[in-house]
Amino acid sequence: MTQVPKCTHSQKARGIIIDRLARRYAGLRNAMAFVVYAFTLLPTLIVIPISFGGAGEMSFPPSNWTLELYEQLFSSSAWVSSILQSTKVSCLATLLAILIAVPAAYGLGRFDFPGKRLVLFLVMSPMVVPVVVTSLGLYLYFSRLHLVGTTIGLVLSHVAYVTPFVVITVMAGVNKLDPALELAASIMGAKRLAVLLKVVLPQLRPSIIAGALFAFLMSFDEVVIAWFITSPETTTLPVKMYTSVQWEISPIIAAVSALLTMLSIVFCCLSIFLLPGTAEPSR
Amino acid sequence: MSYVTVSMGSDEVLVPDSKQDSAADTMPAINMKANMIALEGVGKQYGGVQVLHPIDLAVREGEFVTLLGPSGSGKTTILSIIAGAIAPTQGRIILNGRDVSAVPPRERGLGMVFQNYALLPHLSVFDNVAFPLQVRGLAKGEIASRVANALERVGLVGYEKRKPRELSGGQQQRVSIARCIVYSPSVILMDEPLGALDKKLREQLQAEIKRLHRDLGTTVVYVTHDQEEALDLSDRVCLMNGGRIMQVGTPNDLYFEPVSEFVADFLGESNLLEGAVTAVNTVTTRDGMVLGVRSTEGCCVGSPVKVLIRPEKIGMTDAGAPAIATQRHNVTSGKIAQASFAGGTMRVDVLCEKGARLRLKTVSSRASELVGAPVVVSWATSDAMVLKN
Repeated sequence: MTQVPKCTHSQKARGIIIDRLARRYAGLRNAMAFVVYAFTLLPTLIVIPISFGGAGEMSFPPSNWTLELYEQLFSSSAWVSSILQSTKVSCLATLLAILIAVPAAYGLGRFDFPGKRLVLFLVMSPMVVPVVVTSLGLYLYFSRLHLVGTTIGLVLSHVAYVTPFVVITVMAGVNKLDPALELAASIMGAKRLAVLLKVVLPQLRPSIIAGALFAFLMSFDEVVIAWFITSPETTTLPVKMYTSVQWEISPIIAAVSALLTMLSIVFCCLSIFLLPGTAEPSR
Repeated sequence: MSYVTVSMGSDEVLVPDSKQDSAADTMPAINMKANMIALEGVGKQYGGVQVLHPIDLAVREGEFVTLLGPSGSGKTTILSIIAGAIAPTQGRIILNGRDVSAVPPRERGLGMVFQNYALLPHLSVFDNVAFPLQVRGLAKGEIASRVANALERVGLVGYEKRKPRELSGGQQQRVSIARCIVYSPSVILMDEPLGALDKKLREQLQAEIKRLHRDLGTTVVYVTHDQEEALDLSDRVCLMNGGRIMQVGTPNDLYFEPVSEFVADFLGESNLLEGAVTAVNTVTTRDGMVLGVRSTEGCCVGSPVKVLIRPEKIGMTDAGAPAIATQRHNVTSGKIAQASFAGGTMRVDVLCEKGARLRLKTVSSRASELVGAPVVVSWATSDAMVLKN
């Protein structure tokens, strides 16, 4: 028989008081949380109703509700091409980042080798350096290589920018894997590649997808590096938005912002939906 | 015995191959079956700490050998070294006549059952059991029939489509055993396979493992800290402590002929009386009891020893009853100091008149089992074992 430690009387009493306080002020707590969320979220969400205003109008609340701004957006070749360019860059950057980050995360998360801390530091270093500094460095470096203004240049820059975040996400997944599964597979005769493909990757799938969504969003949103690297022919959506705010202040920007916000929300919901899968124990 | 040919000038002389014989010498020649596993001077150090002192251990083909010991005794280290999960600091591992010290786990042709099952969570029961056959590139039809056969052996027909997390612990461990026997590895390693299960399931699976071993005749190396499991399942038990082998032998050997106090104490209950050899087959305890013992071979008169008597070998009668003592018996009178009733049997502590306290196990009875009742206890000379210090 195991003995259950008994609560002392005073501990119990204190617990009851805290419970009572928590119940009495529950309303206040909820109200505070609501105010904070409203303060941070409202400016973002307000663009959504604005985006449904009429052409040439940018006011809240809109005087009449139309889809004119969206029509203007999708009929402007400059906006559409920047959306396509952003999509292309983000997809390529995500793909490359996954190809680099997954093996890196597995190697760093699973094995010990000399110089591991150095490699980890190098992989993570883009997170430490301010983005403006990275951008300037990339600009100077890529101008030597004639990569400034090219899509490839921008993709490579974004790969460097998002890879550390993917490594962190996937490494968290690797740390949850039971190493006994890989040992079991290799004792059963599986070669290293088979262990990776049939044992490790299927279990890492949720964290890889979460990392990919994250990488895509980061690349799609990224403006500083893109500002340095892109040319008028390779302008991405955030760069186009930034310039349009500076030079023209067209209400189309509200429609673009609303779309971007919804994209972010959808992606975040997707990754939240996927992450419980990684939290599930492997047995 | 194997020989290497050494040429000396024109003559060829047969010289015993000392390397190979060193392992063969350390194992008792009980039967003539070949060694499936031979560990030769295998040891392991972690950062200057010797977790496993160099050991020699041979496991014959078809044998069920259990590595038994408290946690930290090095038993799991030995299993991991055989599996190839960790490399030994010194020594050689011979598997089926081949030195596999430098061979990776996947080429050793072993099977392993883990305490936490180690099933692939994303695969169904069928695919888990099929995994070792798929990596071997077997044909689909062959895989299906062998998986069906393995699942039938462990009583899991009808569970093929389930995921591991939809199964109970006992069922998961059965899947893991099926996954092992499906590709008929020459050796199956089991690392505390019943450790995560509750008592009833443990007994049930223990019986199944025993039956499977009898049916398949596979060599099994089993790790546990549970002595009853070890005694029930094993052909031989290797009892370990502190990174050293304390004794290797059949369960009977270990229980009835322990070589040391540790072995006697680890397996079952024991009464240990300190004393010194005073004559051939006679030991006088510290408090002056003169005991006849089975054998004092190898002890000098005066050398300090301990006498081991198993509680169930001690008989007890009421003080008034006619003594059943014969010449073979050690007899002493005393009083019951404590008695605990455990259903069919009871455990009684008797304080002997000379001061020794003896624990004995006896069939329960109501008669005069009162604390303080005078009794006579006796045991056969052949049940008193001498342990050298």
